[in-house]
Amino acid sequence: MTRFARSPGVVQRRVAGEMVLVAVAPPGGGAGDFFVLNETAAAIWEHLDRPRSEGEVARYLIEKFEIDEAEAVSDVRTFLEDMRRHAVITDHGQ
Amino acid sequence: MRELAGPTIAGIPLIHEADGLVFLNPMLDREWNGGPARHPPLRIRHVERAPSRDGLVALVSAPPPQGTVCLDAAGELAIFADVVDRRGAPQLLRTVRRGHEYEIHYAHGEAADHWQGYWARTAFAYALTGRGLGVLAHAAGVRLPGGGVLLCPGASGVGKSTLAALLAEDLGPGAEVLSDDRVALVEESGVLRAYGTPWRSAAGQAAPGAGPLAAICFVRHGGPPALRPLPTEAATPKLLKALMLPFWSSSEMATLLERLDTIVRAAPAFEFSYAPRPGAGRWLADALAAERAA
Repeated sequence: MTRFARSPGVVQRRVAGEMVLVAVAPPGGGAGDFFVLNETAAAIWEHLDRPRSEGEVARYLIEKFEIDEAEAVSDVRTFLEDMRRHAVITDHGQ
Repeated sequence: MRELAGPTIAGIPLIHEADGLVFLNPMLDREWNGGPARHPPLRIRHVERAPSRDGLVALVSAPPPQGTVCLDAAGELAIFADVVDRRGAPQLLRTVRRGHEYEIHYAHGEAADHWQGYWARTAFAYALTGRGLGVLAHAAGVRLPGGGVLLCPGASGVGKSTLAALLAEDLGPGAEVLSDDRVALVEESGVLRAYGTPWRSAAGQAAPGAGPLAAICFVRHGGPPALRPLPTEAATPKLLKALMLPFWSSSEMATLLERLDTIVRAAPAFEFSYAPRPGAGRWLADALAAERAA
């Protein structure tokens, strides 16, 4: 089971309540990319305070937002794919 | 090394230095007289020397003249601008002392005549973040009659200069254009102040004034004038796009995000759509005053 983790080269901060991520070099080549996360994405990011699997994060969302499993899995998968493409999230092995 | 005192911008005196073959262009001083100095000087050394990529690690590339942003062996910023002078030769900015001293290498000394203003702006932007003082915004800044500064961020062509000119025209001597292209945002004792800079659009105005940041307005062309409040989640990414981000340094970026938090909390953000006609500046100033009163 693949687990996912935050990349070390990302600076995060809540800006007036909104979670902002900025990719800082190195690594990954995405330096300068920035993201202002919506509530769901911010919850996923905050839950990745240590390496976790897709299922673990989805279960967290189900509990936090009282959404169904399909929606939670879809949200987590979309976020992880997007953030991995920008090297903001990395695979952390099994 | 010859030395030329440049203007003082946001309290930072610029000092240009040059070796024998580089001509120092006093254009920054010609119409812009700076303001009082409160911070140590920023030294920008212009040197005729073949730019070298040795020891540089490329981070990200942008179209000329920005070039490739790199880190040197000490982890400091360097910018290799690929092709910028008339002979197609590159130029290089290197950090000598972060926030305080930068060196520009020109393959041909005469290129400095045209490019030193660009490099001064670049070095100043990185000195602001390097010292943790603030950030340079790609924005127009207009001090309104009440003293607060209206910031209009945006890329070239969005209408920053037009709106700044309309505000100045409609409001008369009570308003002052601090710059219609680059504004320095500096936090001082918990107050976010917007400073004028000499960097303006071709036909634009600039003044060495400053004032507390009062509002942020993103401009859209078209239709009758309308002012719409922008929620934080919409304003933050738009604002980030207009700031010179120090994305090579975690510590500088963390400080900048702190400043961004202050900026976003200090000033309400709006979207202003309008057709560029006389009276639009007055309409906007009145609408902002009504928003403040509400």
